[in-house]
Amino acid sequence: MKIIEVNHLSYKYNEKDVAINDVSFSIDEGKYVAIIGHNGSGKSTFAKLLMGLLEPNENSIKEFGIDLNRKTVHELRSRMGIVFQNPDNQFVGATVRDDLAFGLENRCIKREDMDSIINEYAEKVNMVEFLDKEPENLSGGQKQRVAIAGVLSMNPEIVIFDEATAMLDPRGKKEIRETILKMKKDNPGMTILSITHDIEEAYQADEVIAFNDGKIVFQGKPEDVLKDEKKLQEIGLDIPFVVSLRNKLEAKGINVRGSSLEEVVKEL
Amino acid sequence: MKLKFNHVDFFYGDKAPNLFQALSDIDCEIKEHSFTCIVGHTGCGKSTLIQQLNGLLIPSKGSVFAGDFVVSNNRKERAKKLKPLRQKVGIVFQFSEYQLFENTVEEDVAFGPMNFGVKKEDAIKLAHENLLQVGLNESFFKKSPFDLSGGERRRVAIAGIMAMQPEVIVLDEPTVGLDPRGVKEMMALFKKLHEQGTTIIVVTHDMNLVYGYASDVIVMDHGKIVYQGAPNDLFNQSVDAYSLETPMMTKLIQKLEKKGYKFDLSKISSLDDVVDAIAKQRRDSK
Repeated sequence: MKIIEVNHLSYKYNEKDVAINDVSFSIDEGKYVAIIGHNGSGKSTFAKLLMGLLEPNENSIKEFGIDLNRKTVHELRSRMGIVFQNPDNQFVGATVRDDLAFGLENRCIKREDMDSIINEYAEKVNMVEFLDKEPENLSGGQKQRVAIAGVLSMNPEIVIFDEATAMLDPRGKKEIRETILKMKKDNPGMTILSITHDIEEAYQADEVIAFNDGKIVFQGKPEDVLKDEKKLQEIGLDIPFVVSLRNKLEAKGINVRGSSLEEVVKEL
Repeated sequence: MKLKFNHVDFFYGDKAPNLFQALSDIDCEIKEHSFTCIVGHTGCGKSTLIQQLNGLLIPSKGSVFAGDFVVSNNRKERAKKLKPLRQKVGIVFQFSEYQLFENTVEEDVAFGPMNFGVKKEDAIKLAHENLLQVGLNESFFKKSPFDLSGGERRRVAIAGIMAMQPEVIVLDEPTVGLDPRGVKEMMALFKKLHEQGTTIIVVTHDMNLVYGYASDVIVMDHGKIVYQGAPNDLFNQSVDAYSLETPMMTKLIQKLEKKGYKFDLSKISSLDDVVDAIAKQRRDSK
């Protein structure tokens, strides 16, 4: 089933500044899709349009088969969650427990049910031992994991990560990459969209969509689309290290097929 | 300008009950004209360390020597005026794109030099030169900084420090949040400045940048320096000991060496060199 359908979507912030330029495509339910592109290519605008935080042109976005407009935006948004870039901007509670309770309170969950729900989702992101900690005592990666738990506890069908790892150090980045993969395993039906610069993260997704100047330049499996060095460099991106190694070996007449560093070295 | 830390300790909340020791017994030298990268986890004291270099933070114990200037808790020792030091050692902070405030880009860059007594027209001239250096042409000069993209604004902030013509430029995570092209352009700029004689100090988490650009590397952990030396030596030791990420190139070389391939590290500066060596050794073994 197509969970998101985009049809001739355009958006401009002002007359001169066209952020999204006549984009059409669709995303299947249960896919983990990485959206890549350089700074200013329209990725984040696109995420905000999907969430209804910006208003799209008429009949251009369908989610769960329903047209996104002023009447449906609240219903659709309640079925989606978004994790933003800055870990410090997303923490509202005094402790991790309070922060997770905030979303549940908004959904009028009974107090006696709350505790078990909070525990369940803290466990999913490995944050149980931090439940009574204050945000000052958490690392960036831990705060982002709390944000993810908060989003998951709303039972969303689509989760969007808007450069959720960009402000984290390598350890934090790795934590979040692993959390996303675990999420995917726990909830096979959940659709995940991750807007990212991290080409190595894009490589682990089911599908990659690349934006440039407000248009989609390609969409496909990471194996297929992340190997064209020239094309990726034209739009300001790199190819994954392994793919670059494979291309260079091939140019020397050495053909290898592995998709990780270990596999490639094994073949040499 | 030579930079030297002499047994420096630093405490936040010096006289308060929630005392926190951010630096302990830092004793090291940063070479003149080097390209030094400082790496380590979030919270290990990197940003605290660099702020001692121009006296924004004063060591709680010990002293910092920056050329002829002494930054120390001891008033008798300490340089009478630290302002001239701040012209010589310029610091570009993290997320510097949020630190612009003037009406136009050129005024923002000119603010620094004017603060140090340069006449307005000369400061504007300096601003133009440095904006061109960071890749922003005439069309940007009169724009409001707030109409620029994040990456462009960060360049304006860097031009602002360059316009003060410092001998040392310190950058706190200058490539965070930039796309790969932006990272390359930014690093190429620092490389150019380095070649022109400026000492460059970059705080970063990206070990691939350390591999590609640094002449020296300092690793920090829990407020201490745990390694200082050449990047290659660090990567050949176990970087896991400091739980840093191994650069992809080093990972590849180490895995290949385990399989019996041999590499002369002094001759390897890019992936092409590694692939050439692989191809040659495969031919020879046939």
